[in-house]
Amino acid sequence: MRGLLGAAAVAAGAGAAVAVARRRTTGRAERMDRWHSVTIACEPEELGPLPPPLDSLGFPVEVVIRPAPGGRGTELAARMTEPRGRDGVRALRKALREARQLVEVGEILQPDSPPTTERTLTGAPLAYATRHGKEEGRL
Amino acid sequence: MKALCWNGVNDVGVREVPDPRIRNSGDVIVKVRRSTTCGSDLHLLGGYIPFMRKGDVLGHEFLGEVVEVGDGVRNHAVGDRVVVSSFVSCGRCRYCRNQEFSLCDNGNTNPAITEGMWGAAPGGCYGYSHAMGGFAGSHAEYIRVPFADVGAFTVPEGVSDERALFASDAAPTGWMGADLGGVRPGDVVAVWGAGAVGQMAARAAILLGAERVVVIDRFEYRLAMVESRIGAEALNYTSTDIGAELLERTGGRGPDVCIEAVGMEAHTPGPQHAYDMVKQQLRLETDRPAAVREAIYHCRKGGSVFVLGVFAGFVDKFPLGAVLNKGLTVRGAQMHGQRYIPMLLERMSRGELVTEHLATHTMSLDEGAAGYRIFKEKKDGCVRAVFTP
Repeated sequence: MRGLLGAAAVAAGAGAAVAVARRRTTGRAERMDRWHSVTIACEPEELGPLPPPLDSLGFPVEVVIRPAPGGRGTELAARMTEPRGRDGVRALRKALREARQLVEVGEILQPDSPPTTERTLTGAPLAYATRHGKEEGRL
Repeated sequence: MKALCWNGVNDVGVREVPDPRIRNSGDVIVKVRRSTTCGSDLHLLGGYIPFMRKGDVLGHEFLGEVVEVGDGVRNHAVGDRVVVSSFVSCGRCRYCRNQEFSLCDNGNTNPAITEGMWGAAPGGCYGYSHAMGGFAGSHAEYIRVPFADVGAFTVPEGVSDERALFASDAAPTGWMGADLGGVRPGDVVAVWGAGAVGQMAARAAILLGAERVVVIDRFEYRLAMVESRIGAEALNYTSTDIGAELLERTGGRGPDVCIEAVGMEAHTPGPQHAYDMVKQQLRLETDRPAAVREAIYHCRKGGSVFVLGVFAGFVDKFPLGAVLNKGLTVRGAQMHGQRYIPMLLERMSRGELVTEHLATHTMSLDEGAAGYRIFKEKKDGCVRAVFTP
């Protein structure tokens, strides 16, 4: 019984993980032409007109690069210029996170591999959430 | 390799898992020599932070030897004895440059989960769930350490493994509570919780010049340590009136700085505890904040409350009225270890900061499940169970 309750708690929590991860992107009807932004610790001149990997998304995006106020770095904002649906928004958000990391760190931080985790039914929602861990959220 | 893994709620065990590999140029692989349990692990074990998967390796506070180095690593070489900050931080983003390392923009590979929960993502943390990046923990023979030039620190000769281990997390966490809580010479400081972090916060307050430091707990063996090893005063809340004691010791003002080092599974006598337990079990509140309530209530007017204990979600009966009407400053953070570890290692080498007594139980990784049981149930005088993989 205790194990069953534990599994239920894990499953409920994992379900919640998916829900919170989707909070902005897919939790409600979202404007597909919304600007998505990151602030990068660099000068605007350090960014090209279409910083990678925004240059390899496979669909056109509009990009604005401007100094952040108060010496907070550089704001990089992007939005889709043609409808690409939810998958397009996800790809754009992931690309923005990675653009920031490429400028600041020089490479993309990779998760541990090979993983130590097992595939289980109760772990499936959390596995889904982590597969999309850079695409959802509040960016 | 062998590793101590989370198998389910309140179920941990040693398993064979794949060896870690270098994944980024700034990585090193560390052969773990010591890795300690932490009170915050209990929230994972109990399912209160529901972002664990079966097979996740536990542990975030550790020390070991570098055995493999990525191409981009400059500060470390094979053979270095290093203590590693429990938070994974890049050292290059705005937050890291501001010395707020646990807020790193680039240390968490799954930022969406915590952005959804909290509005923004902190950095990553070893062995602390997929919400914090999903990095394998240190209760293992080997561990991958990303951004090693930023987060791994060579231990000075003359500082033992037993002492340096706690520079990984408990000591910098405690120091941060006193530092960012604003402890100044002449202050009276109260610390809730006499575990390793609470003891380190008390010691930090003393070293920062506090006039009096009082630590509050219910376990006599921990309070005895506070008096004999830390040099602070001790109060047992099960046998004395904490409010009256604190007023008596502060000329009726209350402590200038109150540091909460208990976290989301706080215990308190009386009906408040039953109330919180029921609400937490029904998931009507995720965290039990009894020590935070106490700290806010007893803090002097215009004082400072620092929350060091780990909280994950939502609390009930938060005394916002006291915060407002007493003009308090309430602050919290996960620990900015990289900011403090070099200084703490120096203090350890000078003997100002002594930590060995915290490791009350040293055992093999194979005894990991038993270690967590003793630690969780606070049996046999346990403060920390330390594993030697």
